[in-house]
Formats: sequence, structure tokens, C-alpha cells
Amino acid sequence: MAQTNSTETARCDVDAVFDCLSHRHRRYLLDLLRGRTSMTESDLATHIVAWERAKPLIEVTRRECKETLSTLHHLHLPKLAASGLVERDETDQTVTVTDNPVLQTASVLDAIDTTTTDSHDSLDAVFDVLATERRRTMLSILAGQYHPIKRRTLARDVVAQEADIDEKDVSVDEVDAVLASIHHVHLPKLLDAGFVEYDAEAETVTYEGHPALRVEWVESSMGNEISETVASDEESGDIQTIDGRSNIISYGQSLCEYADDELFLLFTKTGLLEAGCFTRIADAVDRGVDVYLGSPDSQVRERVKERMPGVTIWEPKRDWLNLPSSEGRVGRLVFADREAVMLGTLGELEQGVHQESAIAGRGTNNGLVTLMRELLNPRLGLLEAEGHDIQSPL
Amino acid sequence: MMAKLPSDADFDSVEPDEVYSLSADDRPSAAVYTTVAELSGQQALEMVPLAETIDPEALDLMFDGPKATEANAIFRYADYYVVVTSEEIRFYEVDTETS
Repeated sequence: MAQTNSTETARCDVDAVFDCLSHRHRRYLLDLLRGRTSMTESDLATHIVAWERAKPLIEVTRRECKETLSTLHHLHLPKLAASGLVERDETDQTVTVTDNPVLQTASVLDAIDTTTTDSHDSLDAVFDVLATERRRTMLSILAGQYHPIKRRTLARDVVAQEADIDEKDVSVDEVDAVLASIHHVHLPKLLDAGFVEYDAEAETVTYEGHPALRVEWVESSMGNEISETVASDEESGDIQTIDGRSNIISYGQSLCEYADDELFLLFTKTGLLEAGCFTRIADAVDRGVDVYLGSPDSQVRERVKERMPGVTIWEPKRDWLNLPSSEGRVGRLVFADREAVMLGTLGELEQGVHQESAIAGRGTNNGLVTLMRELLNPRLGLLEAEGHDIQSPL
Repeated sequence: MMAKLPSDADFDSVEPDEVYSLSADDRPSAAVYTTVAELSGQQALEMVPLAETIDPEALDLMFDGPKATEANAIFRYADYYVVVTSEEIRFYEVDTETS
């Protein structure tokens, strides 16, 4: 309850920001205040009522605003001010938006843009889930799973991640306490919002994902501020290196979200296609993106075929992209719109899991992207020509 | 049909079955489900999720910080009436015969 150190404070701020975003009126207020110097509380109330009832500002009566104005004054504005997103001037009852970096984050701007957002209820639920660090940690663990995960295993992973210790150093008491909080508090929330499915008999949690969820919101539990894995619209000639399996997974997932036209995926080993990837691929298909997925695992191919009939699937038979001078070999490849790429290589096996590292590039003229285009265009042409039922291995 | 929840005053003359003293870093919601589980002779995981009765996080927020000294909350969870104040949580077994 009492905040003991600065890290704790920073984490709480992320909770508070997501909590602010979990009500559509507060999202609308932030959108209104952006780009304006300041607004009075009664102006804000008038705008909300006009928006809610879809009528011109001039037709909104003082009576209609009364209830909204008191909710603003007693609930929404204190919350927004406490999280540092707005400043209030008590004497003349005006509100000003602050230069908090959260409000420069592309994914947050998208979420508060009421003209493009149609599912307000589902965004409320998503931000409500995100408003607690433990649930963000749970989501980040779940999105990295290939199979349903035992509830107790999830609790142990959460303890290890929260305390930044190895799973084997986690005490039974800590796992019990976290497991109880998952049972009584967090799992019901995730179930309500449709993020997971729970099998009470097997005590397993299956990650379903959510179309409105963005990777960088979940990953904000890792750092202490909201960061973006794919920077807004910056194109760069640089080639980025990414270390660590979880960072690679989330970068790959953010590329899946980034694709508008075409998504080309290759996973050379079983187990590289996590549940979180599945849902993002399905979302891409729903957006009308042409998705091509290669996997040597017939089970994966069957599963994808069953769950996502719109995906073109094939079996990569040849030695795909063996990099001659590299120490490892290609494990996963994500190529979005032929202008952003991530190439992950598999290294030494450690406790049954390959060490991974990846290189990534973004922008039409990026060196790595150009190289990948040269290498892959002939094969992509072949895939397009053969259509949705590729029988022969490429 | 569920009986009407007793009011604060109804508990004044009754001795609670259990009292839990809240310390500064306690989350009231966790104290509620662990204590009711103990009183019912069950494991916390065997109990119906507290979230199906009240919003546990709303309860924690309600008693978070010095501004909460005047607040209290009364609700029923499993076979107990639970009275939460900023200092303690009192548990009263529901008389299932009369309710």
C-alpha cells in the first residue's frame, strides 16, 4: 500500500494509466484534450453528452450535462489527474492534458481515437485486464505458450518473473499465495474479457488472445514504462538485433500486428509457434492480410488449417536459408508487407529450449529487408500462383 | 431466495466468529478469501472465486490509503457475513436455518 521505492511508483503509474484507459469517457476526454490548450469541466461534460447522444453541441442542455459533470468532477478527472495524464486548475475548473509520453504512443492514440474505435466495451475490458501488473505478467507468460498451461505452473512462472528469480528457487508458499490470487481475482477477469479459456477439471489455462490487445501494452510489465516494440512510423536503415526468446516472440507478434497486406511466416521447428502467435495470425487473416505459413510439423499445419482456413500452408522441405557464416540456423522468419522482417536463429539447446537471437529491419529501403525481398520474391511468387492448397513441398 | 444483508448496526450486539487485523501491506481481498477458507475448513482454491461475489480489486482500492478511515464494507461470502473496516475484518457465520 505504501510506496516504498521509485520502481514501485513507476509500476503503479502503468497500472493507473491503464485504469484510466479502461473507461470510454476517460478515453474520449483524453482525445478531446489532445491538441487543445485547456478546457473547462462543463465544456468537457457537454462534449461527452453530445458524443453519447450523437447530437450537435449546441442542442445539449445544461440539465442533460448535470449528471455527467458530477461524474467527471468526482470520478474521471481525479483519476486522470492522479495518473499524471491531465492537470486540473481547481480555481477556474479547467483541465489541461500533460506531455506524458503515454499520450505520444501510437497504440494508445489509436485506442483513444473515438472515430476509429467501434468496440468500446471490449476496449474497456482489455484495459481493465491490463490495469494490474500481475495480469500483464500472466498474459505475457500465456502468450509465449504453445500448449495449454497448468494453473499451478502459471502461478510458479508468475512468482519467478515478479521476483526475477529462477523457477527452481520459488517457494511453495509463494506459489500458493499467487495461485489463490489467480483463482479468486485474476483468472475470473481474464475469463470475463475472453482472453483465456479454463478447463476446471484439468486445471489448465488456454490463451485465446484478444483482437484489441497490443503486444507493447503487455510488455510494459517488463520495463517500467510503456514502450513500443515497433516504433511508430520511423523507417531506418539500421539492422536491429534482438536477444532472448521472449523479446523475439513479442517482436515477431508485433510484426504480425503491423502487416496490412501480406504476412510471410516460416517456423522450422515445432514449438516455435506459440499460442500468442496463433491469435495474431488469425487477427491478420480477419483484417484481410494474405498469410503464408510454413512449418515442418504436420500437427501445426493441421491445426492452422483447421483454425484458420484462410492461411496458405506449406511444408518447408529444403534447407531453408541456412546462413553460411552464422553459428546457428534459421528458426523463425516473419516478413510483413515485404517491408519489415525478423529473422531468428537457433543456437545451443538449454534445458530443452533453443537459445535464440534475431536480427530485424524495417522500411522499404532497409538493407536486410531488401536482401530478404531478393531471396524470397521468387518463392512468394510461386506461393501466390499455386494458391491456397500447396501440395508439393517447396 | 437470499436473505436481506444485515446492516452495520445489526452486528453491534453480536460477537464475531473471527477478527482479522489488517496491517499496512495487507490486501483485504486476500485476507477475506484465506480466512473464510480456513473458517470453512477448505483450501482457498476449493472456494468459489471471491470475484463472483464482489470485485476484489475494488475492495482493496476502497481501503487503500489514509483517506479510507471512515469507510466500511459489508457483504456475504460463502457462509459468512464479512465486515471490512480500514483496521480489521470481522467474520460472522450466517445462520443458515433462519436466513
